[in-house]
Amino acid sequence: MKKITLFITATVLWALTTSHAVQADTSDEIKALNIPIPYRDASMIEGAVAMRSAVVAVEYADKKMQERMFARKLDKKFYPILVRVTNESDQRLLVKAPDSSLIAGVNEVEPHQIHTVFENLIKTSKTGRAFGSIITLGLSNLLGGNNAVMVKNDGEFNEPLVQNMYNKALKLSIVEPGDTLSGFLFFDTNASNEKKAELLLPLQYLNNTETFIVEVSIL
Amino acid sequence: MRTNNSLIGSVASMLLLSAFSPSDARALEQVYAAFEKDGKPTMIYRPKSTPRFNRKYDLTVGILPVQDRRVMNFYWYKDDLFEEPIPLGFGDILYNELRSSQLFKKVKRINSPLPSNSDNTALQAYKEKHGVDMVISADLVAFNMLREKAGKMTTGVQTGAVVAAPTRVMIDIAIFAQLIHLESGTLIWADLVERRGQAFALMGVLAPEEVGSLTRQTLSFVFGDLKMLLSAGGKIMVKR
Repeated sequence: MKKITLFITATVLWALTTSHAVQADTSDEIKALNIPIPYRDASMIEGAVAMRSAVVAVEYADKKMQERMFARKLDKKFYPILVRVTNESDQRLLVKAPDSSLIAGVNEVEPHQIHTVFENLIKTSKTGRAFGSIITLGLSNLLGGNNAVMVKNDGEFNEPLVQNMYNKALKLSIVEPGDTLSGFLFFDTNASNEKKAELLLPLQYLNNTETFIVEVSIL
Repeated sequence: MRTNNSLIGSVASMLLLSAFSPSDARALEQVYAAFEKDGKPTMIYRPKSTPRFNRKYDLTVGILPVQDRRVMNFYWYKDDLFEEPIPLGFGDILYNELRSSQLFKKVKRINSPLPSNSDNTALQAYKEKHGVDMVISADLVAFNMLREKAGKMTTGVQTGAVVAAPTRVMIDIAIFAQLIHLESGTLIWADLVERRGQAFALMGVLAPEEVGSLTRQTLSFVFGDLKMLLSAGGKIMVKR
């Protein structure tokens, strides 16, 4: 019985210290980096809303889409949505993505900056390092300054994930007449618990200073 | 008893291995540590005196505080890798560039934002209060460093030395700016300018001053484009 308890404890500790928070293989990350967001005119998407010649469509990025776009599932901590904006006017349209918000139930939430998204996805192993530092009386920390170790650490940098999320995030952008803009916004996962969620997206035509807000339900 | 000891031993070795295992977080910290050790570079540079621009607007323009609208901090979650706080540094550069360009009669810095209720009366009051005819409102859309490995880390056959993969370092900068005439409430000009500066780091990591130099060079291209667009486009003011 004692052996089993010790074995379980050892396994749990090992899992805790080496768990790399839903890691994906780097080659998968590189593949995902090269897959663009599928081009669709916003008017082709179910539930699209048209206002002043701007069409906005929003859809929840399901697990399949998350895997395809980012080579990992994000929905444990985040609520990823794909936004498409088509400009059907003859004026340039400014999409004020950073000022967007999500109405979920009685709460209004702002999108996460993407560094907070991948910060939760990268390898941390902080617990392991802390334990290790104690066990080795700080020797492991000293070794961290060694040049070879530094280069090895750098080799582990998950740059494709960062670049992929950066490329696919919806940014403040101009949509030329007739063109469509697509990108992801990442909200807190709590927003997905509500039955009805609505995205508020501020837009501005670049022939005047007026901003108008389009409200789109998320399907 | 012996079994217990071996189990404890295996737990300890697992913890030890984890302690020495590399991680993204640690790799990030060591890049950051280089900036702390060598000193943070500055974003500010001397504006280029060429090309010369003709005065486009014989009016006083006020520069509003630059709004940070980025989707990510400069490098991962680190944002204090420069001497200046980033939006403030951009405000300084915008001021220096517009002053030296001579596109406007006078350039002033304004600390208070435009009134949220932008009707003509409110804009007129703002104009009187700050003594400006126009304002430039700028949004910082991108100011980010990205890296891309060109190959894999290798180990020397005889020496066993670890050699880093060559890395492409990219500085992405994008700024959206709009010029508003206060008396009429007219949007005179608006555009988004963006540039990507690139350099190769053979040892994987660029030194802080190399990052600084690449950043300043990219910034000067961005603001060069901005001045060019301001000079070539936008509505023309006619005196009645």
